[in-house]
Amino acid sequence: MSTKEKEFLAHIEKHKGIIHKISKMYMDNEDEQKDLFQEIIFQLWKSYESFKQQSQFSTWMYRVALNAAILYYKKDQRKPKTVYETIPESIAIGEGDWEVKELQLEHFYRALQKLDKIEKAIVFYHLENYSHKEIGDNLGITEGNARVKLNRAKTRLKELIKEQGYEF
Amino acid sequence: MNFDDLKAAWNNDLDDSINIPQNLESLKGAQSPIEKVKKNLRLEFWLYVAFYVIFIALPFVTNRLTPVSTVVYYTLLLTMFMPMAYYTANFYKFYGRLNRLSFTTKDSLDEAYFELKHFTEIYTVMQHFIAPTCFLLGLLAGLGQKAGKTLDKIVGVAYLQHDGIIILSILLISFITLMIGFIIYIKWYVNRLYGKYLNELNAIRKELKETE
Repeated sequence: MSTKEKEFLAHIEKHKGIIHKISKMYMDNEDEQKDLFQEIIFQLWKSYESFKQQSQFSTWMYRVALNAAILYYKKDQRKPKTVYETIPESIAIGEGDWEVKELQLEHFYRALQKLDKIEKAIVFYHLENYSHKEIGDNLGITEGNARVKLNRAKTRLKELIKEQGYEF
Repeated sequence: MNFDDLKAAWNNDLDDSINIPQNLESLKGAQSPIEKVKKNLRLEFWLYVAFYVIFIALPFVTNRLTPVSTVVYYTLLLTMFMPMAYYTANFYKFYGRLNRLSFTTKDSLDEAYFELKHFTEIYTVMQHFIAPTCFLLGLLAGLGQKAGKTLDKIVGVAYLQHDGIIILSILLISFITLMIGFIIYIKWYVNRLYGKYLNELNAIRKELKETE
């Protein structure tokens, strides 16, 4: 294995959690999430030449990984939507901090599946503490457009989570 | 919904059980529209090379062409070579340019969309030219030495016989129908191969448009 390959894999090991989160945001079943996870790593490796060491790996990685997820083509577009199981009671009735957070994320990922690909990217950048300007710069849109789209995505998410009978 | 709560949950969502591939060689990217198109392009490119070799070798194998029809045959083949060479040059340029995912999302999408659209148009034009030429080449190779005689017969019938105009009209209508059939087939084929990817890319580009 070359030094470059080792260096790349070390970066990926450090950031694999983020790639996994992106896969969960864009695909609703586990098999497709695994495929997308692999596709993102493949595209990151292919684009690795374009990574300039003076910038942060994570900044570069977010952009390439999200673009790969946005351009990812679902194997079968006509496939019926995933039918979700009821959220396990152990999580649903949990009062502890961990259970509450788990429950929130569960509802959040379910609701996210109904947003479009660009809205998902905007929500991702927002959760990673990017400003409106940074979101706009990464997507190639204006700061104002990023702000409007983020507000719309948040409102839609709230509605979708409410539809699931949950609120937080 | 409080996004700060969600952010806290998001930040704590760490899954250590995820495994990353240990060998990058084993990774296969195949699901992005661009990768799919590249795969199709690669396959088609080699198909064209194979077709071309077959067409070059065909007269030697069948040994049915007269000297005149050999000249016509190879002239047609050479004429077909020119758009194919142009297509191949574009294919390589296109192939190398695709997939610049480190650009902004808008630039990556725009580039992929317009490159693919441009390439699809070149491809369609080339198909329109190549399909009838292949048909003529096949006809020449198939008829062999009878090619000249058959042509003489058609012309003879058209000029000498009473219902020559009717026969010519039937031939002309058959030819036009065949060409329309070709055009419809090419449109369907290009759309099946590349149209769905173009539509998908365009739909995502629209999501980026300014909202009021």
